Amino acid sequence: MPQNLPTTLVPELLRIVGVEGVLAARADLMVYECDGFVIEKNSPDVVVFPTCTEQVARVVRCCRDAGVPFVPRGAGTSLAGGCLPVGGGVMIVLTRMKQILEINTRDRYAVVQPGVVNIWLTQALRGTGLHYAPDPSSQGACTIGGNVATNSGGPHTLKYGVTVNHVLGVECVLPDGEIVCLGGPVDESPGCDLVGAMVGSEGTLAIVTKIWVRLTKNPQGYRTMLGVFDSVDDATNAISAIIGHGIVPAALEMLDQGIIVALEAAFQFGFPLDASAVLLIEVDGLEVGLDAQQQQIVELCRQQGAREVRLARDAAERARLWKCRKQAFGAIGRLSPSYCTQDGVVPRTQLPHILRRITEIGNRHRIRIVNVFHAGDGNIHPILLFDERDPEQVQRVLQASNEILEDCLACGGSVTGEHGIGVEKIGFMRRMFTADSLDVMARFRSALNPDNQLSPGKMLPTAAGCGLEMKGSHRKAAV
Amino acid sequence: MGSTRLESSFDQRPISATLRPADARELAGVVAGAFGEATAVYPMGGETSIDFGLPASRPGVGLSTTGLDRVIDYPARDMTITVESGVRLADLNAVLGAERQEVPWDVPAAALATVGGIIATNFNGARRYGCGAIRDHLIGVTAVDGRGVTFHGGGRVVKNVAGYDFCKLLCGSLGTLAIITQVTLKVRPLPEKRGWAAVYPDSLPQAEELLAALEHDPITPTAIELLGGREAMVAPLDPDRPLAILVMFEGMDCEVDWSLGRLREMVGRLRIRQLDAPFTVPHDFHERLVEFPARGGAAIVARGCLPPGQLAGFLPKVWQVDPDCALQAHAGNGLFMLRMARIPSTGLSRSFVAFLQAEARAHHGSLVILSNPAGVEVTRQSTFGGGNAPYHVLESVKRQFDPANILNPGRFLYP
Ligand SMILES: Cc1cc2nc3c(=O)[nH]c(=O)nc-3n(C[C@H](O)[C@H](O)[C@H](O)COP(=O)(O)OP(=O)(O)OC[C@H]3O[C@@H](n4cnc5c(N)ncnc54)[C@H](O)[C@@H]3O)c2cc1C
Repeated sequence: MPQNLPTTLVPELLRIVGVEGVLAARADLMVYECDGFVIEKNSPDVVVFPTCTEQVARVVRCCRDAGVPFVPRGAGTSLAGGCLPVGGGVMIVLTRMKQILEINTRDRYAVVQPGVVNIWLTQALRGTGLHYAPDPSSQGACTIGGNVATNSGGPHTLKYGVTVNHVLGVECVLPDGEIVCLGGPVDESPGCDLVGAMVGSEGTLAIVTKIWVRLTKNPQGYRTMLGVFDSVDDATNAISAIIGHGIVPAALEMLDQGIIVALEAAFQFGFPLDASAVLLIEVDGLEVGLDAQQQQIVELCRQQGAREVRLARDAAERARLWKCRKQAFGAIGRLSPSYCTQDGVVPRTQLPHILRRITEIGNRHRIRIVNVFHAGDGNIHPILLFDERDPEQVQRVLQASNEILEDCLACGGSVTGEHGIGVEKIGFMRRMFTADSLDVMARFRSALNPDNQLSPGKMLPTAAGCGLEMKGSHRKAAV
Repeated sequence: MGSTRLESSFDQRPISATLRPADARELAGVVAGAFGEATAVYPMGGETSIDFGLPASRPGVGLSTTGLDRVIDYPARDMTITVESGVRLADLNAVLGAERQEVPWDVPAAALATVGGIIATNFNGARRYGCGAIRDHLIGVTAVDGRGVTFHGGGRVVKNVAGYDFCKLLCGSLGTLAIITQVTLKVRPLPEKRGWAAVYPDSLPQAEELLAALEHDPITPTAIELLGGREAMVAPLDPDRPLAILVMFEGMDCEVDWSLGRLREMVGRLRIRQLDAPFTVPHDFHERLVEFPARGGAAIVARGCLPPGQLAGFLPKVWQVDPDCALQAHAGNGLFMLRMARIPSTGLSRSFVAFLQAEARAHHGSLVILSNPAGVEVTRQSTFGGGNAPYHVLESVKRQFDPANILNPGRFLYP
C-alpha cells in the first residue's frame, strides 16, 4: 500500500476504474518512474488507467479532494521528463482511451481519444486521400494526447506545421474535475484562442480527453533526394541556400557521419560511409511542378559542394529512406551504451555556426556527439554519447548540453523546438523569459490550475537555478 | 446578460482623450498608470474594426498603437520578420515585397489595418485555406497586460515550444487580455503566379457538389470562396447569378495553369453551366473580394464559422431571414461574412439569436455580429452568439491578465 496517500484514496480509485485499472504495488510502479528522460526518477504512488472521460473526471475530483498531486501520461516517450511524478501522487495513464471516434472526410477532421497512437490515425485514413500531418519520429509509439501536450513536430512539419497547426479543439478535464470543450470541428470560435494555448502546455493546465484534429490532403506526388556532402559546413550551407531561395520543401533533414554509420550498420540502405553529412530532402505537391523543384534543389546542393544527389527511384525506396530516418534513434544503441538527445533551435542561417560549435564543445568535453535533425526548421538534435555508469561522464554530458543550448540562445533561438521544457529545462526558462513573462505564465496557469495540483514542478521555475542540473540521488543517463 | 441601447458602439464610446505613445515602454507606462487609477483603456490600431464587439461600459482613454510602427528585424533569409504592432499591413507587405516575400493575410483596408489589430480580431480571410490562419504565422509576441506589465511568448525562430504559447492565446482576444506591442511573423516567398477562376453553380446542392469535389481532388487551391447574393458579386462577376464559387491558385506557372485546366474539367464533369461567363478572373478582383466585409451600407455585418459541408445548408436559412443578404464564405474553412441589407422585421432576438445563431451552434459553429446596428437592442448574446466556449474559463483567464478590468471593459463577453 502506498505510503503518502490518504488511506481512502486507493479504494476510491478502485471503485472508479476497477481492479484492472489500478497499479499500486512497488514493483509495478517502477516502469512509471520516468519517461524517455531518465536522468531524474521518481515513482508515482499509484497509477490509474481510466477508459473514458467521466472516469478521468472522477479520478481528478478524488485527487483534488485528497489534496494529492496528479500527472497525465501518454506513451511516456517524452524526452524532457514531462511525465515525471514530481512529489509522487497519482499518475493518470490515458493509453486505454484509444478509440478513433469519428473520421469526417468532407470536413477534413477526425475525433480521437488521447491514447490513440499517432500512426494509427494515418493508418486508419489509408484510402481516403487524407493523412494526419504531424509525424514525430516516435509516431509508432507516442499518443496524440502526448503530441497535443508537447506540441510535437516531425520531419514534415517544415511545410505542414506542428501539432498546434492541426488541432481544432479539445475536450479536457480541468484540475477541479470539470469537463469542458474548447473549439470543436470548426476552424474558429469567437474570443481568445484557448485551444492554441492548451496545445504545448505540457499537461499543466488540464488533462486532454478528446481531440478534434484537422486532416491534410495527400500530395499528388513526391520527389525524395539524398544530398551527399564531404563537409558538414557544405551541407548546412546548402540548407540555408535552399530555404533562402524561397523553396519550402516538405521535409529537409540532416544526418551526419556518426549517424550514417550507425544507420548503415542497422539497415544496410547504402548510405555512403565516408560522407560527412547527408541531407534528406523531400518536395511534394502537384506532379507538374515537382521535377522543376527537384532540379532546383539538386542545382543548389551542387553549388554548395554536394558530391552527389541521389534520387529515390520509387515509393518503396522513399519509404525505406524515411524508415531509416525515423529509426535513427534506435540505431544509436549500436554506438554507445547511453545517449542523451538534445533539442534546440537556431535561425536557419545560423546552422553552419551551431554545428561547428557542437563539434567544438564535444571535443572540449571529450563527448562524442552525432547529429540527426530537422534542419529546415533550424531544429537541432545533437545526440551525446556516453556511459551512464560513469558519473563523471554524465557530468560532462550535462555541461556540454548546457553549452550547446546556451549557444542556441546566443543565436536568438530556443532551448526546445519540440521536446518541451518538462523538468529537464526548467532552469533555462529564466534565460529565455524575463521574470515578468514568467510571472504572467504563472498567472495564466493559475487561471486553470490554481492549486498547481496538476503536474506540479513542470515547465515554470519555482526557485533560482540555471541550465540543466542533476537533482536527487537517482541519476541515470538517458537511454 | 446585460443590454445597452446605443446608436453605435464606437461613436458612443466614452473616450476623454486618445494617447499615442511613441514606443512600447511609454505604452506600458500609460497602462500601468491606468491600472493604478482603474481607468478604462481602449486600445486601437488602424481603427478599421473598432466597431467590433459591444459598446464600452465606462469612460476611459483611447490608446493608439500607431506610434509603434518600426520594423525591428528582418532576416529575410530566415523568412521571419519582427515588427512593432502598429505597423500597417500594406507597409509590412511593401517591406517584404522588396525581398519577394509576403504575409498572406487578406484583410480589408490593409493600408490602415495594423498587425496588432489584425491579430487581436483574428481577422482571417480568403487565403487562410491554403496559407494558414493568422495564428499559424505568429511565432513571437510581446504585449502589455492590464497591470502594465510587459511580457512575451514564443521567440524569433520558427519552431519553439518553450513556455505557454501566448501567440495563440492573444489571437482573437479583442484587446481584452493585453495590448500587443511587437510580433515576430513567419513569412513566405511570393508565388511565381496567381490565378482566380470563377464558376457559377445553379443551385446550392450543385455548389456543395463542387466544394466537396475540390476537397477530394489532388488540386491545391489557396482559396475557395462561395459567394451568394447580388451584392457579393464584386466586379467582374456576373451580378445576375445567384451563386459563384471562386477558386484561387498560387505557385509556379505550370502548377497554376495545370490547376486551372483541372478545375475546368471538374466543372464540366459536374455539368455546371458556365454559359458565356469568362472562366478566369483578372487578379485585381482579389482586392475587391477582400474589401467586401468593409464596404458601407449594410444594416448588419456578421461573421460566422461552420463545418464547411454545412455552409450550403445554412444559406437558405439566412435568405429566409433576409432575402437580400449577401454572403462571402471562405468555403474551404467554413468561415463566412454576412451583410444584411436590413434589420430583420421579426427583430434580432427572434431571427438572429433564436434562429440563425442557434442553427450555427447546432453544428458546433458560431455567428457573431461585427457592426452593431443603430437603434437596436444589443446584447452579449446577439453580438457574440453565446458561443460554445466555457465562459467561466475565459473569465478566469481574463482576471489573471487584467485584474482591474481596464482593457476594453464591457466590449467582449466579460462584464
Ligand atoms: C525515439 C524518439 C523520437 C522522438 N521524435 C520526436 C519528434 O520527431 N518530434 C517530437 O516532437 N517529439 C519527438 N519525441 C518526443 C516524444 O515522442 C513526443 O514529445 C511525444 O509527443 C510524447 O507523446 P507521449 O504519448 O509519449 O506522451 P508522454 O511522454 O506520455 O507525455 C508527454 C507530456 O504530455 C503530458 N500528457 C500526456 N498525455 C496527456 C493528456 N492526455 N493530457 C494532458 N497532458 C498529457 C504528460 O504529462 C507529459 O508532460 C521523440 C521521442 C523518442 C523517444
